[in-house]
Amino acid sequence: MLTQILVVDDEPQILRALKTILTANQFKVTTASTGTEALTLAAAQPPDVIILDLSLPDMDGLMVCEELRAWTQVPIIILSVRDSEKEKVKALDKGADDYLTKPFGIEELLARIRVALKHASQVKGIQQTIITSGALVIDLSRHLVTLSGKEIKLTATEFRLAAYLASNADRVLTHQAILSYVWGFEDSDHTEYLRVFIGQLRKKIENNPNSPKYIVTEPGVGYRFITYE
Amino acid sequence: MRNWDHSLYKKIFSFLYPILAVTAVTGILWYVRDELNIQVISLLYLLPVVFISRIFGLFPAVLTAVLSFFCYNYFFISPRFTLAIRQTQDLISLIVFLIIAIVISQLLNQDRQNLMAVIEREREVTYLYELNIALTGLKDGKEISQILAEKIFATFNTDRVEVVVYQSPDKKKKISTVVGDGTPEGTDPDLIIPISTTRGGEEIVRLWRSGLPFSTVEQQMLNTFARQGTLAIERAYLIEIDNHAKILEESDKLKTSLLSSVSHELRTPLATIKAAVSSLRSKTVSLDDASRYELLTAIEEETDRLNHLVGNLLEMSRIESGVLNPQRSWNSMAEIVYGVLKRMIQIRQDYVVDVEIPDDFPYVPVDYIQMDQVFTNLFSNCSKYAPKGSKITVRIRVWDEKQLLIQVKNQSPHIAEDQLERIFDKFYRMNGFENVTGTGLGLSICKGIIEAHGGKIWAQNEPDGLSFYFTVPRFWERSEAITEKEEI
Repeated sequence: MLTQILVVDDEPQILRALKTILTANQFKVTTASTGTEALTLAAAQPPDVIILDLSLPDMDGLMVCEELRAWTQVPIIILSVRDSEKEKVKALDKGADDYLTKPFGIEELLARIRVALKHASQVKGIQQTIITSGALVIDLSRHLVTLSGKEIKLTATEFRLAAYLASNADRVLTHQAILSYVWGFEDSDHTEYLRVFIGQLRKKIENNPNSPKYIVTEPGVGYRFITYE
Repeated sequence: MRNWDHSLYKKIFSFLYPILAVTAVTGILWYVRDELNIQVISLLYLLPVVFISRIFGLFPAVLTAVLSFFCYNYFFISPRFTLAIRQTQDLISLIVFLIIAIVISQLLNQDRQNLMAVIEREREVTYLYELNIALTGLKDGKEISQILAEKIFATFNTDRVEVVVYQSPDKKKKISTVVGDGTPEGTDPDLIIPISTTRGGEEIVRLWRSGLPFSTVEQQMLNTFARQGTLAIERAYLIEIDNHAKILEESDKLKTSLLSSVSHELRTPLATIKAAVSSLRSKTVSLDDASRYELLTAIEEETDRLNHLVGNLLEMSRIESGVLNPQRSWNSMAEIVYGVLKRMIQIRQDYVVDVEIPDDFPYVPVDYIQMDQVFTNLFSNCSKYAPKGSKITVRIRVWDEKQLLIQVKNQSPHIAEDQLERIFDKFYRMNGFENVTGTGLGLSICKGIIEAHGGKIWAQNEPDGLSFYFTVPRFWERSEAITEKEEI
């Protein structure tokens, strides 16, 4: 069965382009041009992924996101011209899985869709315990991190951080999400601590910590753990 | 109270002096009475009349005349020590004396009053002149009200003066200047003088003075002062309106140059895209795979360029409207620079980029995105002017205890010294580089961002190229620099 994607956008040209491109990439596409229509469609024929614009004529995309999250965990990818970090963080904190700004490259969008689908299937199924990205292997059950086969000594907090990032591989995690998962901080006043720990972690696992390969910064938003074949 | 006392004393003295003067003259004349004949004595009695009239005015002078008349009669006209007169000539002499004395008093008094009026006018003129000098060149309501209040306070012996005017012609903000604290707050003013500008409004001078009420002359003078104030305010308003018009004109010019620059910058990539897409769609043009790939690459690059332009325009309008608040947090400069380089593939391909940042370089309180934009614009600037294959160097070091110095050096041609500052102006494009694309926004955005961070940016010619330098503060108020910690 084909994977079904619901595209919500009020711009007919975007809908037209995305429908053509996604259909050509073997997805089944339904479209909605208002928030209400999107909510109705999402309930009637539950999609596997939702691509959501923030500026909709009848309601804000963030509201749509919130309402969806009240009953479904379907991956939501925000696709918007709004490029401020605040906006991104807000959307992610409201439950969106990813955020892409217009204009976007289609490769990027396809990659994000794949990541979202993979993550959704992991949430449903059994969690992967060994995450591999290039030369880096993180074994969650054995608390072991190796780089090119050599063990890397991490402190408990560093490991918690690495494990959280890796188990959300290729997804952006906001500062707030990481702080609350790893340290239990419920406010975002501790981003400096996070930065320091990310810095330490990079020194241990990255070849060039200044130009990191595994843990990349999403400016003003958070971090993303990148997996390589 | 001071005024009141002074004036009372003056009144008492003005009647005391005639008595003293007449007594003194009588005494002296009595002493030398045998040497002088009666006519000389009557002449000498005119002296106190003249002096008193000169100094104290009409009534004391008349008093002196009458006193002299009696003393003259009593002490010198026989029979002495009586007011009776025997001889007709003595009677005539006495009457003539009285008439002359009173006429002299009147004449002299008139003269005196004229003189006093002249002095008064001169004083008024002097005060007005001083006021005018002080008001010249003042450009806003606040300064004018201050000067007006001070001058009125100094000139009119008041306890308190309050001047209320509008700051600017739009009448949004009222300004009240108070000079003097002689009267407690909340007391009703003793006099209110309106300042009536042509724009209408409630501009006003309030005066408090205990004791003497304001005389008509003083009120007239105050009105003149207020009128001068009015004129000064009108003048200031006109200047401001004129300035406003100039600013509008400037912004109009800016808009025109923005439009021409933007429409050129928007149309060029659009033209490329349109041409590429239409040839890709065309059935008559047959393209091989390489050409198709080439056209598609061009389309992608041009859309990126358009997007960058829109970003720059937005950023500029944010800087212009003053809403560019850096969201500071502790960031690694190295991470920012490498992040930009990672994204700008073209720069890495076309240039030898050398980043010299010490490994243990401290975190810096900057807005990540904005700093990213500064480097992006600086690198993109390098790529426009520096020859391909040349070297771009980024150096970061601690400049002093408060600031970091960042240098982005490239091997582009020198810039004339007088243009080194102007290149940071909005829409400024260097002469002789018309074929280089750009809106002239990049560097002015860098400047806006760096200044919003509390730093400075400048360009400098180097022996083998050009350097952009900028500083950013090492600390910001919210917190101290953080050091690396193992566990928290």
